[in-house]
Amino acid sequence: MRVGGGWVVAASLVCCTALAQGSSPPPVTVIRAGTLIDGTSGSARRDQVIVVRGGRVESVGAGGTAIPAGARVIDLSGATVLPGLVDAHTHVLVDLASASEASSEYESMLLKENPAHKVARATVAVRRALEQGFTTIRDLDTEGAGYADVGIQRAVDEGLIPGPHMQVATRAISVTGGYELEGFAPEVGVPKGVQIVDGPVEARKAARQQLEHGANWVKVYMTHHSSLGAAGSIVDQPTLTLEEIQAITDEVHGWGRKVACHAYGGVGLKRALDGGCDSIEHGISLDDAAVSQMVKQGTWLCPTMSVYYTGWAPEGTAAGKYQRKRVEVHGASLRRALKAGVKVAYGTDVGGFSWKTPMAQEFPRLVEFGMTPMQAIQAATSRAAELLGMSGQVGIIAPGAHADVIAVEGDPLQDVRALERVSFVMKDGTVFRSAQPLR
Amino acid sequence: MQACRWVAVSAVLGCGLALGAEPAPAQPVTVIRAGTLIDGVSGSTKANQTIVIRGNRIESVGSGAAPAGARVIDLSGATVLPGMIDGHTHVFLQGEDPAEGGYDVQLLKYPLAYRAARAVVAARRALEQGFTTIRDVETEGAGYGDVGIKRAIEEGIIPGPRMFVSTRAISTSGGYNLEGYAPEVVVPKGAQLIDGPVEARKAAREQLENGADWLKVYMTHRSWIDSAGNLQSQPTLTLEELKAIVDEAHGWGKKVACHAYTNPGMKRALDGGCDSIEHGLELDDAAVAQMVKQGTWLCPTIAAYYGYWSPEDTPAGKRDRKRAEVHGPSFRRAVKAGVKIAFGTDVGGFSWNDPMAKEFPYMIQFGMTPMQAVQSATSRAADMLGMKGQLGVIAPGALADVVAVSGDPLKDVKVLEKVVFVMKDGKVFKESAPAK
Repeated sequence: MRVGGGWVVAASLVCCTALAQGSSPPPVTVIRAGTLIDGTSGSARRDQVIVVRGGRVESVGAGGTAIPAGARVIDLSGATVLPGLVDAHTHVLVDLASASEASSEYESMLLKENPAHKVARATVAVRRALEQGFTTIRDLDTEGAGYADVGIQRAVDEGLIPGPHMQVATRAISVTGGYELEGFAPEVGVPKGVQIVDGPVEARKAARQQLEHGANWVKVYMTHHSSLGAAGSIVDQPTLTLEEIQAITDEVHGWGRKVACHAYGGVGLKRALDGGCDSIEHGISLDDAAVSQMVKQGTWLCPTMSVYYTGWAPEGTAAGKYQRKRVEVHGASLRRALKAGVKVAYGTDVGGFSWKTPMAQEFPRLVEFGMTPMQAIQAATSRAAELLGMSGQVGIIAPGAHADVIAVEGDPLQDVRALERVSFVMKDGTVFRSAQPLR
Repeated sequence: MQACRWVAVSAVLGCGLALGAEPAPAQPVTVIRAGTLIDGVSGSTKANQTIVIRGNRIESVGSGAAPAGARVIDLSGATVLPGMIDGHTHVFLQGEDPAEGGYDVQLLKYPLAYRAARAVVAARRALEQGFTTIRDVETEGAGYGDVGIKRAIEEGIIPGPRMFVSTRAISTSGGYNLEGYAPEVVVPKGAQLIDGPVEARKAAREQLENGADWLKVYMTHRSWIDSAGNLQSQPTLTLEELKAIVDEAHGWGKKVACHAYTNPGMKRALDGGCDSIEHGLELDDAAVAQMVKQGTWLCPTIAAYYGYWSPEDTPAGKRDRKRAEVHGPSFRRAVKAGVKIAFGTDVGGFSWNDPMAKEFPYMIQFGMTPMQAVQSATSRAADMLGMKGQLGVIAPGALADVVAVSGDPLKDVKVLEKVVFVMKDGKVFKESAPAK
């Protein structure tokens, strides 16, 4: 049943893409936007006209603007139009479909899955992102699939498969004892989901290799095992030493690129901040000192709140207690970070949860912990674009930006859940998805 | 939701299926009204047939009424035939246009994941064109990627045909690309290279262990024109090396496909027990008689030799023209003698944007009737794959792989380039326009 439905939908969406790409977009397209959220302005504008030429936004103006002759007109006057969204924390090579079975699925993925099968799944994942209006993603670790993200990125950029603009991190880095797979007899060699380094020389070499093979970001796991300590607070195992992370950030910054650091709290988080990480991923336990250091250094936070609400063990178990504590602490950390003015970018960790569930599920969480709907939308548009070094290019509807435009029915400023129902997706001026036939 | 706009099924359940609004019954019944039916085995067509499909199998074919409650697909204006079978594809190759870097760039510069992403696209291209089954005859340096693609299709993750895969293929030192590099430079090879019967058997064992359905062996490699103006080809495996592979594969109940152009490589291929000869550029009377005697299949891939020729005044250009010149008569000889022939294109060796059905006119030009050509891509190819009665036929008990074209392919075989309806395993993949 799912298969049948899926294929028909796939065929229809492919048809749309094929139509649009095969016949190449008309030279000028005009979008009538009933309500426009442009990604940077503090409020929405009514009745706007967006002119798209050559895959870029040429102008944005009031409703009375003259329509260029020969333009294709797309009427979204009943919808809210926004920039294509940005998810700054994805895993296209992973699809943990069932949170409660996550560890055995992960094991199976590393031990048994054919690499081409992973790529086949990833082609579906990138299309899912685009369908949902995420026209840009930052993918943070292939989890054992090597440099497959670079291959996917290339296939998307060449127009061979539909997908978002991608920034990729390739293999990611941790230390011995710092990543899955674990729990096997010591004599048995098992694959790891990241590249393992020990010492600053190996750390720098790994960074060099990954940059050489196409990494746009380098992803480092600065904490690993996490549990409830005796005092009832969360305790996190640090991984890289300060010297090891500094070797990586030094190398990566020399190439003009950036380092994303998975860090929960404690010593590992402190080393991440002292070591110059450009973004903290998750940031479960941010105390006042961490928050003020992030503000001072301009470090970004990509919190990924919603992934921690899935697959809970029963309440009385050790795991269950830990999971509930984690979200409690995480929510308080995000509140603290927002209050202090830490720069926050939208990220979901999708792949860590099923690609079949909505990527927009993060929006309500951000609002729950202190953002306004407009701030949450900006975290997924202009702010995330800034994190990615793509300000003015994506996450904004303004002259010169990529023509990545989406629309939702209803008003996301009243209810951010409207973002789960994207009805129109344009990327680089090509319509990928449209609720109504295009004239 | 726009899925309904595209699935032009005048149906009870069509849109419901697309929306996922209600669970389908365990064994949904679908009826196809076929204006003209080519069933894959009969020598002539049948008019106005009702094909009843239950679940993923064909239940009946006849002139009866549709069961009550069935979803009805109206193809009464079309010619309906079994889903077609291409017996020679390469989903991991994307043509060999010299302007784009030819063959070498794919092994040297295309990352594996990029090749796999393009293989995903190729698999869908095959299905779109009505090829609901393919035998993929090697990944050209992409290892066991074909097994991964096949599984992803079987699991419904991506759309594509049923696949019979060969994985890495086998040749000898000096027997496969990449070539032409400085001897000190280690380059990837597009096949698994072996020397001696022990390594040959070991390679066969590895490939079978890792999921090969068929083994593919290159029994000839370089080809050229000799001083007498004849086409020659370099033999690769010795008879002993080939026999080790065939013996191992047959022990596993699997078969061996052998690329072979001319003698002596061709003779070794036949003496060594290859189950199919791929290309068979120059089959002499003795070869043809041996193939008939042994029941060896021929998968000719004629059209592949008619494109992408090197310039006329070069040795390669002369050889390209000679190959095409001998291939047609060779095929004609095989058809006349009753050699079993399965349709194959070598797509991937040429661009996946070219129509796979471009092979059909060549088969007819060189001696087949249109019906024979269609059968080579349906029931005959199914027979080669050991799927007689299951695939390549529209008959009770067969898997419900059904396609349709507008017009009459027996009058104009080119209509097979425009398949308007594709059903695989009882599920509609494509329905371009309402049949009426």
